[in-house]
Amino acid sequence: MTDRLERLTNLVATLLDTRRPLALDEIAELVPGYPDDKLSRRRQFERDKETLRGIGIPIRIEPIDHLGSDIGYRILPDEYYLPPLDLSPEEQAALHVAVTAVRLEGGAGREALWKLGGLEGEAATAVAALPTLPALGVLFDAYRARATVTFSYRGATRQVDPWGILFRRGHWYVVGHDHDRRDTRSFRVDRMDDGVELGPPGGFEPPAELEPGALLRDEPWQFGEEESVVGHLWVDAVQAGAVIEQVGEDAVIESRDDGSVVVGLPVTNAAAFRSFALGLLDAAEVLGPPELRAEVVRWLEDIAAGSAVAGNAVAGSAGTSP
Amino acid sequence: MSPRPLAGARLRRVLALVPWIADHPGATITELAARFGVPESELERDLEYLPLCGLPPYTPDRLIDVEIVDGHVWIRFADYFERPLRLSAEEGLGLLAAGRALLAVPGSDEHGTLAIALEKLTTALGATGGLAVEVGEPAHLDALRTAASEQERVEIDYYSFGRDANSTRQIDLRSVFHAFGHWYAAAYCHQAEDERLFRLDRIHDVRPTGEHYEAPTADEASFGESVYHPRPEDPRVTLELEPDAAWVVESYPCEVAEGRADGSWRVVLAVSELAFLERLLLRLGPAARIVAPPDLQATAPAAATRLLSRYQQVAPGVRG
Repeated sequence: MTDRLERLTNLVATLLDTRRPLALDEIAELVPGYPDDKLSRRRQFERDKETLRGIGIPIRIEPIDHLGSDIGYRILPDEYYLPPLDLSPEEQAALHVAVTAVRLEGGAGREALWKLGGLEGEAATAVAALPTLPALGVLFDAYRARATVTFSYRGATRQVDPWGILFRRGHWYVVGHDHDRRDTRSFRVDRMDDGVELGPPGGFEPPAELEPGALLRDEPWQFGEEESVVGHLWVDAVQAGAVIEQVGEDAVIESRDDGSVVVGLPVTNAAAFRSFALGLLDAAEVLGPPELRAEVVRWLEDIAAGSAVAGNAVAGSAGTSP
Repeated sequence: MSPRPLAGARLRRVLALVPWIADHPGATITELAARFGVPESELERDLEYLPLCGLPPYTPDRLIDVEIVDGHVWIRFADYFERPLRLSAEEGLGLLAAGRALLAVPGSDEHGTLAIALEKLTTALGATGGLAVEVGEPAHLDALRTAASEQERVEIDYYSFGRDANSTRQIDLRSVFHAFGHWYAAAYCHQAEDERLFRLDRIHDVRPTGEHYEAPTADEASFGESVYHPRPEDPRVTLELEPDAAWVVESYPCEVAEGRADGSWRVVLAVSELAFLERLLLRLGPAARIVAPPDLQATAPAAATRLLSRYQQVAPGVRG
């Protein structure tokens, strides 16, 4: 009996070498180790095909007769081979440092480096950990192929041209053109409900000179469809630094002598803005506009009265979660 | 789930190993083992099975020829494996993400080599312009990274978010790292007389002390764990959550989380600091209610009253 690794290796070589798609019967004749019984042969081949696809080998399925009723398999060299990268040993070493310094949870950094010529130079101590998500690979493919994606997000189906993928503050986002909203939108990848479906390649062209970071609206108070107002928030000296780091230096509209600041934030989700302000406790105060301030006061008065008024003013609305 | 037996993982390595050896005739087994990060014995097993593989009809000229002399390796007749397999989407994204993240850390690519490597990779992957990784750059990152590498004790002014209080501490840094979207300093704290984790955006000042310390044998920073570890003696709070407050369940380590069909939850949280509970309750408002313990039920009304007193004064006003 042929060893499975031998069979898989021969299968890859045979499918790469062939000039035309091979039917399973032909494959079984050429590659030793497949059973004679048709059903178990099919089952074993399907398992092998899964394994090969699992490690990224692009196996094509093509019709092999005029009617299209019989199918064959092959690997197109153009789809299989890594294009020449011409990395110098120093550049390989820099990538080695990168994949050891930045841990991708569940990522295959080392295996990827094998393909680029192995582990050059020394490993580095870890300086960062990034999460990975199953949908990321699919979204990256969609971005590269310029394929519109369809996915379910907070219960609604969204159709989006993925212009870019961005990691910020612990989360992965996709930014792009939302077909239904007819506007630029950002989506947290870990909040996409399940499978991401790809449309045909070449479905859109992203804007030139795109900077995904500039398009991302990732602050909860921007995750809303309310009319935009600029919320003014006073933050005391102790919290000022952390808040500025989060919202950016550009948001500061006043720096006071005592070290406190006033930031102006574009708000399209008032509940999320209130939630952000109250999360800072005594270190922050919503100054305006008057309707936002009044809303915070009303909210606090209800809590102070110990009332359990259920209703539309609830803090949640998925967008406000941290 | 697709079957993912060892054969797949080994094949993955072999498909990268063969082209490299073919490209570097006479490479030594020792060098190969280091380059591919596997024990020599494992590598030898790969080289042993390869001569059994090739193309039909598997005559000697159609089989992969592996020659090993004095620990040096040559591979011939494997033209179809002359180049490695292309990178998968996950691998490509992973490499670019790791590279870009490191590039965003100040001082990590002094010679610009990483930037060039990433440029080549980005072009080859057809991913120009579409991927960005931001890790932020808190004010004292440089100072703390330097102190960690030089093992110099520093004094920091730290704001503890959980307790809503400031303190000054002397710390011996173990590592400075980015995880869960924030920069952290893992350090021995001389005030707490224990290992502590400090968030960099809450460190307001860093002062050198001139004293140096001996770092314990390198333990890798344990990123994977939750940053907050409940202690057995921390008070437990039982909360009723409306469906709108369900995000609490995924955002905090709840010790008990019972969901109901209507989307509401009953959770038990360990709460080491009152300020944490205040923040949570003020944000949730009517969407959350403390069931137990009774003595904490006044937490939210008391905090709301305290904040209201600020709002009832004349607003500090916006300039202009």
